[in-house]
Amino acid sequence: LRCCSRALARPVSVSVFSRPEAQAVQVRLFYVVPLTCILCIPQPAGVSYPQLTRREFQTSAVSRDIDTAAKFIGAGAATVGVAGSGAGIGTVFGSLIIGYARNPSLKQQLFSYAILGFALSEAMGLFCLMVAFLILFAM
Amino acid sequence: MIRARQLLRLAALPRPHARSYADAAAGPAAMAFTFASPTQVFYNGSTVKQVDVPTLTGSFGILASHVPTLQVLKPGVVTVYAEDGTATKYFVSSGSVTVNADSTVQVLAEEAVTMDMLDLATAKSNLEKAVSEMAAASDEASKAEAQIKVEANEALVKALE
Repeated sequence: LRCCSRALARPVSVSVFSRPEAQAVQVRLFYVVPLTCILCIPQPAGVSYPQLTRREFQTSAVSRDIDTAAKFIGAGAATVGVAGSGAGIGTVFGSLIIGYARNPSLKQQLFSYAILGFALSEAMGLFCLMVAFLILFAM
Repeated sequence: MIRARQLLRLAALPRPHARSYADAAAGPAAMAFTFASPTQVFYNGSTVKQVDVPTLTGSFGILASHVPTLQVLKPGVVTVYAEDGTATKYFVSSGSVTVNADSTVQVLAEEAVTMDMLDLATAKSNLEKAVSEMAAASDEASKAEAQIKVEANEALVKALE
């Protein structure tokens, strides 16, 4: 079965207008993309195609092809890297708790170091997420 | 191999005082704090909220129901936080800290003074003298003595700044 491709989009009608005052020829081309390919509808063997076949409405605008599927898979795989950021942040704040338990007077200093460590670890996770979105939308 | 067996044997021994992070703290909720030097007693069994001590394993704060521990003091500042939150600082030269299971804390210092007895300029000049002494020291004993002086004076200057 050969399914429809964009190559089947073809100008169906060409109309030419000429207005006396405009002195220009406007050409309008109507393109019709066969949204569902007649050939894609499965027919029982040995039956010739009728002239008018049942057409279905295409309700989604995006065409899902193998390229988009690859993008989805790539973005999903890239998002796994955020787990490293989660582990790092857990370690940082666990160490903050232990450090504060040992010396409660250093609360402010320890907390500012913890926030610094959290920010850096989060940045790594966001780099990973950035690559995921790059794959999903830009490549 | 032998170490692993030793560790297993240690782990199998009953340890009634070992407490994990998740267990609730046992003992009285108030700390009985004793802080003295051979010449002067600062606190004797009084109730304070928190004590920060400088030890050879680092500075840490002691609250009520602290894990029992024995530590050696380093030259530095002992900060005592009273029940109402006011902090009093003392400079200690050396000594020991004992935290018991019944929340009694004894800080016994070799020499302990309040911060107003110390002068920053004198401390800085003492530090310079000690550094030059260490550079000029010939044998190991005098070098060690000079190093002790340097560390003590560094702690003094840091405490006063």
